[in-house]
Amino acid sequence: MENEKKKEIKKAQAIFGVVFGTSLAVCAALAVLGYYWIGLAIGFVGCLCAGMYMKSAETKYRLGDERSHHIDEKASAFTFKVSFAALGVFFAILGGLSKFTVIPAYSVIGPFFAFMAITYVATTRHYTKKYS
Amino acid sequence: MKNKLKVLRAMSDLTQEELADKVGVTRQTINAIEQGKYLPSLELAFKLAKLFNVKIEEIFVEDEN
Repeated sequence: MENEKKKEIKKAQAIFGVVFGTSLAVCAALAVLGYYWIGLAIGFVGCLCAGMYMKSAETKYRLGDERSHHIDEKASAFTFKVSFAALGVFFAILGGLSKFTVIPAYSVIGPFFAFMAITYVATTRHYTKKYS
Repeated sequence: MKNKLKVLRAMSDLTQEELADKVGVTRQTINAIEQGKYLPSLELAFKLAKLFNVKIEEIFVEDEN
């Protein structure tokens, strides 16, 4: 029974991963081809559907409860604070550099989103250990 | 904050999984509460108290240290 539940949970996580990843990939591919708005729309709808699916799976298999929400809240708050401060410093430096050179937006926003994602994952792991 | 959840659970002959099911949380949450690593919400504390038919302060005791 327990193994079946684990299999179902893994299946739900796999579906979420595939839908989420494919949406982002399609979005990026269309953006590269020049269809920004179509890409954004597909990416948005895909990510939204994946999120809604995962939310229903969370309720069904009781993956999330008040402790996991508490961890998520703490990790999100920490990520926001760190990212906000880092972005402020980063933009100040870029503001100074922009007088001497042209800096493409992609090369700024891409690493910044990656930094946010890594910070969130690392912080979530930290708080999960702390509250377990 | 100390708690007597583990004792009360043992007295009721419940596993962590069964208790978790009864109060609508995960087994990991019950385990974290028992180890004193996570303080439950007031709602969950009331659910636990109601389930064991005791007062909240009989489950959760303020740590003097």
